[in-house]
Amino acid sequence: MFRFVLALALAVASASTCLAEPSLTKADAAYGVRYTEEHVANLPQDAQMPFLSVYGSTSDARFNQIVGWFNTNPQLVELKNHTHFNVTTAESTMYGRYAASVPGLPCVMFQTADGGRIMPDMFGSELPMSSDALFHALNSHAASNWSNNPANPDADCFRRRGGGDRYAQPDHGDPRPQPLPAPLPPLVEHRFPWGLVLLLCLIGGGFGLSKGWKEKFHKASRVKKPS
Amino acid sequence: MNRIFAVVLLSLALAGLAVGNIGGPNEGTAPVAWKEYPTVNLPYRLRQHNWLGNKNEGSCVHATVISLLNWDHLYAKAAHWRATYGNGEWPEDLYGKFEREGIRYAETTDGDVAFLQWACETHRGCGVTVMAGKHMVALVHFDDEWAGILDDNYPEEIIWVPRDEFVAEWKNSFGWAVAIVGTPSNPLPH
Repeated sequence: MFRFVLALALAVASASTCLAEPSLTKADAAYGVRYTEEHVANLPQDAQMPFLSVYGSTSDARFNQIVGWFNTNPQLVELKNHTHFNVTTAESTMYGRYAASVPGLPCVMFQTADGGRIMPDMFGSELPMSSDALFHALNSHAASNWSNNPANPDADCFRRRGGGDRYAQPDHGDPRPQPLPAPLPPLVEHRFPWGLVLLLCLIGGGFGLSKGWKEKFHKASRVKKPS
Repeated sequence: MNRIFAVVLLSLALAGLAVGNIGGPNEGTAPVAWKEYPTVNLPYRLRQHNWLGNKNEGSCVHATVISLLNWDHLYAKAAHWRATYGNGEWPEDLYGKFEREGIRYAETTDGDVAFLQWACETHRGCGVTVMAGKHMVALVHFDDEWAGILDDNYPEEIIWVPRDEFVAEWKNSFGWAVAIVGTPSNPLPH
């Protein structure tokens, strides 16, 4: 009987432990005390967050310098924290996905959430020579092209940095996804071939004229001399 | 003069016929594809194939996790995960592993469709259960009409399923979805 009561007491104790409010920390014999920060309860609403990407080769000192700027320059660090920041090395498998779109290495690319370029890619010798210059180049384009997007919670970040009043509406259009399972064929430009029409008119007109001229000339050459 | 006029008219008619043949299969009316298909377009070499664990169980949950880690550029963690974990997985056990490895994650086990929407709109994708809960695959695209599936048993191609059909299948499979909350790869530039 005593054993039964003891077992029941232990069961109740463990059940109440399971049902208890989870504490912010938990003790793990193997890994010490851990905060359960990993479980994200409030889903980050960053669907409109832009993408800031740096591409380059790990053996390129210039690439490593630029990546370093995003860790050391306070303004670039804060800019980075308001974007999805990716470093893609040319040696990685993932780079194959972007290789055709990267104009040269190293390269800094700034995109909207749907992949549109916010500014021309900076690559090679076009990259600024200082971290401050890089920040100003990125920030000025971000502020003028994107800060009015109400869906972007980070818009204020760029607005605060003095992008001026050039808050042009972002040209997102209405990128409604197409209800097709396969990628769409590329858009074929449809221009009226004025040049071809003109050429055909000239050929036809020239032909007609020469025919008419010939007949007239031929007819004239057949006129008998008055005897 | 009439002859000249007729020839010019004929030339224009011929030009009109030529115009009708220019423009490609959709005559220039196809909309430009703004969005990449699928949203989470993981290169083939970074898609983890399912494997049998040491208990002779499929490791679909872990294969899905590895693919999602690769999408977030967490290659070292993905390789470590592949070397360390395998076999079938329950939600709580999986969360424990995430916490042990310091991987941020979000999840739902009550079939919340808004979670799937969030995961794909934020370019992250998520693992989802199918086949009455017996299998996990990665949801790599989710829009008004289609769901794109990366099946770790057939990672060569994305499987497209009508959205409603997929949601019904998922809800009948315990409605479990789990996402890695990291930095997703950027879309293809345009």
